[in-house]
Amino acid sequence: MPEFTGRRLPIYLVLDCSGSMSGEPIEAVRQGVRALLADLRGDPQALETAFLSVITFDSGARQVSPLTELMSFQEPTLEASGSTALGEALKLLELAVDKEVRKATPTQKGDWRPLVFLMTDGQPTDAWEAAADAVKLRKLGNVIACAAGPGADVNPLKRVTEVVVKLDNLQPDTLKQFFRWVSDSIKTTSASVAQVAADGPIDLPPPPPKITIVP
Amino acid sequence: MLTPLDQAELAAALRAALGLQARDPAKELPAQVVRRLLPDPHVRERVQAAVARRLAAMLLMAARDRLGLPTGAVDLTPHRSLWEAFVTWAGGANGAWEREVYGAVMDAVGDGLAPKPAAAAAPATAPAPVAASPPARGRGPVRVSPSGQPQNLADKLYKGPAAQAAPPRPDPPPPQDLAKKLYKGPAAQAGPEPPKPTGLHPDAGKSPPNALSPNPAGLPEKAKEYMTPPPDPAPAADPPPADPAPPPAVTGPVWRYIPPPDDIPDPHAESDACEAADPPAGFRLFGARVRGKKHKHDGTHCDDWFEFDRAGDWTVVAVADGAGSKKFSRVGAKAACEAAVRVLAEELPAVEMEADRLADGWTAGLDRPEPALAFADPGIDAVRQLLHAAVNRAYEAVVAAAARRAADPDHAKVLGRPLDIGDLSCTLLLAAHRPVRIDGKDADFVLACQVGDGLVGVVDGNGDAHPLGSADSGGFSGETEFLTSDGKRDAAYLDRKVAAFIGPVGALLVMTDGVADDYFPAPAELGRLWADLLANGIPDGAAPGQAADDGDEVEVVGPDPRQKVKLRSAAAVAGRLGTTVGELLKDPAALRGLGVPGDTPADRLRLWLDAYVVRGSFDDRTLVVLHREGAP
Repeated sequence: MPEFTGRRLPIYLVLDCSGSMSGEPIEAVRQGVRALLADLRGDPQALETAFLSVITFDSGARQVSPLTELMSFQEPTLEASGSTALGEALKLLELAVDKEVRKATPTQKGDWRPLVFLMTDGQPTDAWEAAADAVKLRKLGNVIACAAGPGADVNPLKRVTEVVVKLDNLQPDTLKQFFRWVSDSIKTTSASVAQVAADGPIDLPPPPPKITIVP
Repeated sequence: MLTPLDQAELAAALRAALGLQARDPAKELPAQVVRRLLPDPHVRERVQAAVARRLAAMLLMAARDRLGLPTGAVDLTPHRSLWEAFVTWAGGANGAWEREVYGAVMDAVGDGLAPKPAAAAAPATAPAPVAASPPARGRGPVRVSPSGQPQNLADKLYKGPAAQAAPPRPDPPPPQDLAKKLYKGPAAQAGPEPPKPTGLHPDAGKSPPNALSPNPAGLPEKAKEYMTPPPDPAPAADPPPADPAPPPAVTGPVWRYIPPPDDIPDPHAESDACEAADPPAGFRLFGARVRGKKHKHDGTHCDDWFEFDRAGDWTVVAVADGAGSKKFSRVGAKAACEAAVRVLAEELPAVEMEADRLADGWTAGLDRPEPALAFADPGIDAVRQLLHAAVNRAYEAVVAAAARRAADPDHAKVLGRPLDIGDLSCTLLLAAHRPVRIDGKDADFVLACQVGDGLVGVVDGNGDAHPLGSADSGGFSGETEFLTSDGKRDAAYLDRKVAAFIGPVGALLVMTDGVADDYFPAPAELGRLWADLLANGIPDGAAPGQAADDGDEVEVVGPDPRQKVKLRSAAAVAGRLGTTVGELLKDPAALRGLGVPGDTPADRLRLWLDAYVVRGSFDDRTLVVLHREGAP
């Protein structure tokens, strides 16, 4: 089967799996990823173009799913434990984007600019500043960061991206809404990626009630 | 939508197909199954009740097989692999609604489990082989269809990771518990948790372990496949035919068709196709624009536009693509094309350009010394300057179009704010053509200029392709430039976006990226584009006497019933003949066959643009063709 060589929309989910997520929150994240996948698989455009990767971080960071097209994507195992190595996660994101996302060449259509959803419920426990600056400076992708719950620190996320949303709490319903919004954002983006001016902001659908955009 | 009557019929059909008696005759779970199988209301609307009945009956027949229930008079062979695909899909994908469907199927079977006496008496032992006559109430695992079976639907339909059959589950629980058991998903079945490596996934950067077919498979596709209504839908009491007709080509999840809205300002027609009444001698000039699948799916307008005109010896073409992210970019695209063509048609005839030269004279005149990049020949350079002026006039027209709408409440209502120039962002591609003479022989001169993506290209009289412009490179895709972006009207920028062609033209092609991206990279793919146009009879219609009917049928996304059209591929023709597309273009007679239907080149072009399928291609498509008759 020939590999798809057209333009892909790479989507990176960077998920905090630290100990504070254990119990209901991590289960809600699992369900959220499942729902996201099912939803995107039902959208013909997303199915043709979107490729998904999952990076998790706790005391370290792992790319638990490489960039994979939706129909081949196997749901990763998500377990919550350890601390919040945001810096490691951002470094890994940079590595993964460099390795997996195709740049345009005279003979190859580049991928669309990656869409990154970064979710954390706490404060970074490692040195994260340089990695955050690198992601922002290099414009690695359209990064949408989510500070989930009352314990999440918005400031590090603001250093990564302009687009930061805040979840009121970590209730399953709120997290479900977040993943639904992620799905809508992906669909909107895959609709508008067809032409986005180089540095223009992407259009995001309005977030649901329990999700607020941090100015 | 399923009516209550449909639901009752469906329930009856399912019970009949399963040979079961429902404990509660009024139970409507099967309808629920169908509803969950087809979660998209637009898809559901398209599915006729009879088709849904058939789909659900087949699925639940397979469920019966899965549970080792008696096979009765129905041969389950054709459905076993469907079921296997379903199981592996549901288990592997583990998405929310897959699980729901799975659970609902299991519930339906489990709840309605009141087997006939004969079956109930049978001992629960080994799994029953496919279509085995003894009614063994086995609880065996799903079995891979033995070789020698008819067409394996699972293999055919499901090329995803789960194409391997589900691993046998050695000791399945009673049916009632199956749903829950299966629903824990891969993680629950995987046993000990795998070690967590740190760092990149070992597969990162490689292609996925199971690369998909161009039409990725999944249940929605299978659902679609079975949506083809049987000519005579099985009555409720009858089992569905054991041997379904060969399925049509699988085309992926259903792209909806929603007409362009006419209740918002500045509506555009769905598509255009037109031909010049006064083309240059020996040429045909035609173009078409179609709304992309994405816009059809979402019920939004086509953002592309094109215009062409003739003035004296000159032919001018403008093509523009409105930014996909902007709701009124179609307005900018149209305004830009109209203004640019108008200024070029008005002013080009006045340009004094020596059109009859020796080859050396052309070469010298087309020299563009750095840093100014002006053409050495003042006449040619005047055309260049006129193209620059046309770009600027197009921009002014877009500014004016934005200004006229800035205070309009209807536009503001759509946008949620007053309209501004950015809402009319668009690309612009211009080409100016005139016949010339080189060393006393007929030839052509083309000068092109573009802002943003898309392509102007020439296939010359020898079949060689020449892109007039350079591809963007270095960054991510989709970061195009727009006419309305800063600095894109400056001479310093436009000078690098001007390209000339001198020589005999076979075809001049001006297109938006909706077409150019599907034929990338030039020049080879530009040649293949023209070859595909020839192979489908776009310029000349069907070739008399050699109407080879060898195309692949595709379905055009449009109003129901969807039009089907056979398209030929130049690459396939070349493959059959053991040659290359490039070679065929030198003597393209062999390319010709049964063309797509249509009375005029423009009509055929429109249909072809609307029909051809490339994965990941769902943009608006616009192509203008200036074709020298009789040339390749």
